Amino acid sequence: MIPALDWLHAGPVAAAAFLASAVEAVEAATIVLAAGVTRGWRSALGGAAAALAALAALVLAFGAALAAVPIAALQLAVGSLLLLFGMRWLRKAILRQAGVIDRRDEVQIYARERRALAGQGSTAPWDPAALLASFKAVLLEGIEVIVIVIGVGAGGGMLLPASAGAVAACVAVSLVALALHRPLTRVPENALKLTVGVMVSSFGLFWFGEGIGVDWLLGDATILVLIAVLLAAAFCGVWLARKAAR
Amino acid sequence: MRRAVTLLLDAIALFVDDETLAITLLLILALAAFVENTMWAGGPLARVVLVAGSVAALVENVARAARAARRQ
Repeated sequence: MIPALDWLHAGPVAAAAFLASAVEAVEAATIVLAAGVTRGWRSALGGAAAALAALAALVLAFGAALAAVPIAALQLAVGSLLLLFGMRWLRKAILRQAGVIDRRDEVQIYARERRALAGQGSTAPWDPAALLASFKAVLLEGIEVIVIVIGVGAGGGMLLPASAGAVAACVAVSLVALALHRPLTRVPENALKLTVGVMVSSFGLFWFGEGIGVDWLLGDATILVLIAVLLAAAFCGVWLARKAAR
Repeated sequence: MRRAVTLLLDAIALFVDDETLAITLLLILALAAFVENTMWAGGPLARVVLVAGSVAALVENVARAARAARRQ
């Protein structure tokens, strides 16, 4: 059980993991829904379940390995990867917000996936096309969720709140997607991606700094300052990109 | 072999969208680590290199991407 005071530190970690995992879960849900509606639910859900089993095996293997890595080396590696990962999201979200590149359209992706799956032969009880499409979508998006959970949680011993945030997001998105039976178009994906990019990049800078021995003046609260700095940079980036694209 | 390469490329794509930004960020991280461990003013300077460098790299990259999109 995490003491009450630690939830002050665990809150941002759980929130970052929740938001990032929600974005990934929405993307995976679109493909699983398309496979289920077009080719049958048994194969679509079977593929998703197989991917979840593979992800669980990955978590078990990496979880044991992580415990053996010295904390400074872990902070260096996790910080670097998290910064690359977060900046990748942030860059894309800024360019989408500025109108330089098209926004992700879940309806369009859903329709495209349905067309692709519909043109692949007859539907058997266990349909390989639906199995594979679901498996691949859940596995790839799930790996991103694992990277996020390890990234935001491992450096500061906050794997539990990070995992809780990720699981809550995945369960919530899955339940809503199953209830609605259509892509989740009302999720403000780009705003979420921008927020998550800022949060994940801030954790990356913080952990990398800790790993090389930087003495952050405000301790853990520095993460909030980094979030503010990166958020300002993101808005500045949107403004500059809009201006440059005109 | 081909599948392994595809898998590796998929894994790299999780972290790299724009190669220039990724390489610039890695250089900034290396520079910050160098400054922190070798210079007398390491602490404050490393913080500046790390935070200001990453922010500048991001802002410059999106502005350049927008200019490139306009030219196309």
